[in-house]
Amino acid sequence: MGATKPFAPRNLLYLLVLIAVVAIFNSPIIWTFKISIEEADLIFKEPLALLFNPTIASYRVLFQEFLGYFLNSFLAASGSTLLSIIIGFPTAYSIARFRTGGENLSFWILSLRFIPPVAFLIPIYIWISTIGLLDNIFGLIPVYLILNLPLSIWFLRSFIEEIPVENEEAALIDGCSRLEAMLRITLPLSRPAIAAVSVLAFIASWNEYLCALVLTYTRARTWPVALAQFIGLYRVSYGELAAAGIIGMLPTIVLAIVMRNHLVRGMTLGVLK
Amino acid sequence: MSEVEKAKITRRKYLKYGGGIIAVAVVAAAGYGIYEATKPKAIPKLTLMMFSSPETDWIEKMAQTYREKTGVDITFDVISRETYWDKLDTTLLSKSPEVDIVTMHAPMLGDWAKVGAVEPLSRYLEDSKLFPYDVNSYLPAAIEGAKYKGDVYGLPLWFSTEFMYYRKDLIKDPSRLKTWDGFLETAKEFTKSNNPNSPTDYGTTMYGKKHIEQVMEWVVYYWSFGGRFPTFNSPEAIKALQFYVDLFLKHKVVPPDADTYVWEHTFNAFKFEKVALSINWDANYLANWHETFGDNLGIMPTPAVSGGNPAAYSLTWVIAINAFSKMKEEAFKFISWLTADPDAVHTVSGLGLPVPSTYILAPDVLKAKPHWELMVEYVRKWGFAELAIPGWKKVREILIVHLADAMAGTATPEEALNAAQKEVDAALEG
Amino acid sequence: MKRRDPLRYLLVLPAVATICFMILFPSALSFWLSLHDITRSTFFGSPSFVGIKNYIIVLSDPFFLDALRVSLGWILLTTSVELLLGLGLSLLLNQDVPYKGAFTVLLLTPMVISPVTAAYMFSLLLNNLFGPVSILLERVGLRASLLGDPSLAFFTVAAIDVWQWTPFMFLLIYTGVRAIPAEPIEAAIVDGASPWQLFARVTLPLLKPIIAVALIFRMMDSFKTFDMIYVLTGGGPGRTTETLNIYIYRMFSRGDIGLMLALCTMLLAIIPMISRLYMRLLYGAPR
Repeated sequence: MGATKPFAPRNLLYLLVLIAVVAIFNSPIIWTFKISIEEADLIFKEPLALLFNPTIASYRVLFQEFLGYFLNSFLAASGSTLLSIIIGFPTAYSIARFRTGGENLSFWILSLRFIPPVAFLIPIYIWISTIGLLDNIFGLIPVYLILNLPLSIWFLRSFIEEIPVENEEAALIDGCSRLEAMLRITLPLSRPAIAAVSVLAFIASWNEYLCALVLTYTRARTWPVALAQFIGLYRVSYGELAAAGIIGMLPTIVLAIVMRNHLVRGMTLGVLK
Repeated sequence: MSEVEKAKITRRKYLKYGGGIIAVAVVAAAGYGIYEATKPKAIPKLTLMMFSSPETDWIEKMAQTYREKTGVDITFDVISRETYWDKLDTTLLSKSPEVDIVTMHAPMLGDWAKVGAVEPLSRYLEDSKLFPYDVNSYLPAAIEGAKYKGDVYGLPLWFSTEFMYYRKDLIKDPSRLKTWDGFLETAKEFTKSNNPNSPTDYGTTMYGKKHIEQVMEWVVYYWSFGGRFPTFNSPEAIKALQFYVDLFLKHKVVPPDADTYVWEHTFNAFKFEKVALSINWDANYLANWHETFGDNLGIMPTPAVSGGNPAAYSLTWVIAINAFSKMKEEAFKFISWLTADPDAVHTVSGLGLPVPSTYILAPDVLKAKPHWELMVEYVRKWGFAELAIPGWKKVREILIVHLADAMAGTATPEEALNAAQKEVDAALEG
Repeated sequence: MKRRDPLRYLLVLPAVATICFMILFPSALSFWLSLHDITRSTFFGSPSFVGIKNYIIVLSDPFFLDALRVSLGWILLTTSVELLLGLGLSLLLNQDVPYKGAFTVLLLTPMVISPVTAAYMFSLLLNNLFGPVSILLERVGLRASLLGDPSLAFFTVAAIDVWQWTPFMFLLIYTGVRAIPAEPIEAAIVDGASPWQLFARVTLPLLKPIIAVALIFRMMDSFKTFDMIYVLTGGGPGRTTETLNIYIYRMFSRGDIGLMLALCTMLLAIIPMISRLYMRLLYGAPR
């Protein structure tokens, strides 16, 4: 961080632009919230209505039906996020510091992110079914892990490469093992990257639809799959769809709020000479 | 502070973080365990997969009755309209015993019957212990449509057709709607850009999205113009497609984004009075146009070419048993009860499900569902159905893509249908 | 001889093991199936071995090229705009503004909402009959069918994608921006660098690795975009939004499983090559 500067008018401009962008980004979401508290027919009769009697009917339906789905999603998402950090960080470190596996390993990992889910639906269904993890959270977690590991490994690796090696070398000279150096020096310094990857991995798993659709039936169904039911019922339930969407945002927002300081922080340990 | 001391502090922090993570994981696992344990221990005996629709709700109610009657519990796996077919494909192709009972359109049965993914039912129907009902209660056309190589593979569950819905209060003389030309004239009258005095913004709706529902709407036009399966590039078919896309491209009697419309858009457009006409499914009557418009809701057969007959597209849904299910007999007992037990059929049709059974023609049922009498009449006089042959799903998918090209104007109807026909021929010869 | 610390292999072992466990069987099955005439009808029987016939059929389909073109256009348009906006926002938030934490969270929200929900909400928002956006546009005299007009649909859906995924770029790049060490910046300022020179000569090169990763991941995700496009336009009007991913989905719906797997095998084989090329372009030969 540089020395504090006086509050220049330029900074006010920046602030205003930021506020404008935040407003643009969030207006569809605010509108979604509006839909969720609006009475079903009113959504179509008066699309521009801003003043109306709100109703929590949509949310009530959700709480009656969706808690189980949210729990399933939460378990699958947290599990895969935690694992993608726990498994990804050491891998990223190894590749960053030692070039383990050369280019081939790195690009092989990268190509996982590229698999169009549709293509793998049947083979992966057969595989998960073979190992007996169909309709099971523990079947979803490894699938999401495969989705999230590439980003975790690649981003952490890029980040670690920018961390000066001197820090770890100093620790090595002090008598730490490589492993200790990794955990005590590099890991704390990587917090911002870990925070970023956690948020992204959680979002990706929490909102994932296609694999959950195919790999779950009734026991492990996650909320995005359940949510799609709201289109095509007796009445088209945009209200309930919106309510589910809003509630679906909450865990990730909470995660982002918890992580926000890490995300904003820079490299705090500085350079040790 | 020395390096080692700093490192000691960070190590303590890691123990805290690590401990924290483990604690959260333990709590979550415990929570999950408690959740699983306290879930009502009803062992799902049968699993039935269906797509999200009013019909599903009615059948779920019947499942409750069945459970009270027999103690057999049926779990419903309800999938959204859009993706139901993918889920069905994956489940059946993977020989998975997860799902016992599935539903699908009758024309799709052929593909699955051919590969042995659904159970042949004739021997169950002949066993009076499993089937103590009258097999002739099924409407003949419906049960025929569920056969492959002579064996029945699914029981007819419900049938639908498309009506010409119109607003009686706005259209005093509906006789014009008997022909396509009259239909077009009326639609123009109710399109504001054409007639500023129109009470509605547009004349009619279209299932314009690049989607299976467009194919199901267009075949009505196709058949009434004289097209016959499986030939899609006859002069009649081309005329039908030209007329259809002109509604959107030339005459603009439909909303400008009608090429993104599926069921809910057409449903809302008519319900909230943006259009005066709609060629749409019979189910819309009950859910819930009749409730909205009451006596102002008019129903007619879909239009015909002058001098020709209307076409009543008859889409039959069947309920079938997964050949890899472990509970086939139990599954059969439920589906046969649902479709052939007089009381069950009476109840479920009372709820709203048009089972293709003679039992729904009972006067008290028809009294509550007056539009069913019309439906049965139209289908009996002018009904047509898709061919229940293997490869038909692929035919539909081929049409989706080429109809969309015509709809967007990137291909003329003739070009689009010629291209489609080539692929259809290849698909059906296998 | 330098002793190679076996630790490095142990560290990557969990990842490699997990990936092998999950991917080997499906990939092998996939490839095996792609060499056979697999359709919904032949799946259970003994499908005949056809070698590379499926691959040839896919490559000679003109619609495949159309879909490829749409996909490339899609990826290029969305990721470049998302990159610019993400970079801009990162730099902006890096300035002397208050409440950075709050802004960070608020800028992430479009990405947080599930793509399926966002798709349905936008389909309602932009609907010509009932959507506030269309109604408001009409009031100011702009009658347009944002999703229905073949010349607009692609850009409309792309704009929605930009809305949803700019936060992704922002988050990753911002992490990199915050991690830029102070010395090079201070040294450059002392040397009298202008803000532009500071950005171009110091900041940007330091950000290059992070941007490279963010970009390649966003490009891959962009290729896989499905729900948004499928719900909003289904690949239409015509083929204007029919990306390769949707094209693959249609193959699945048609039951042409062998063809679909052949196409995917080809894609999976090409991607490492393309990304290697891409990384070389950015970094030069491996360090």
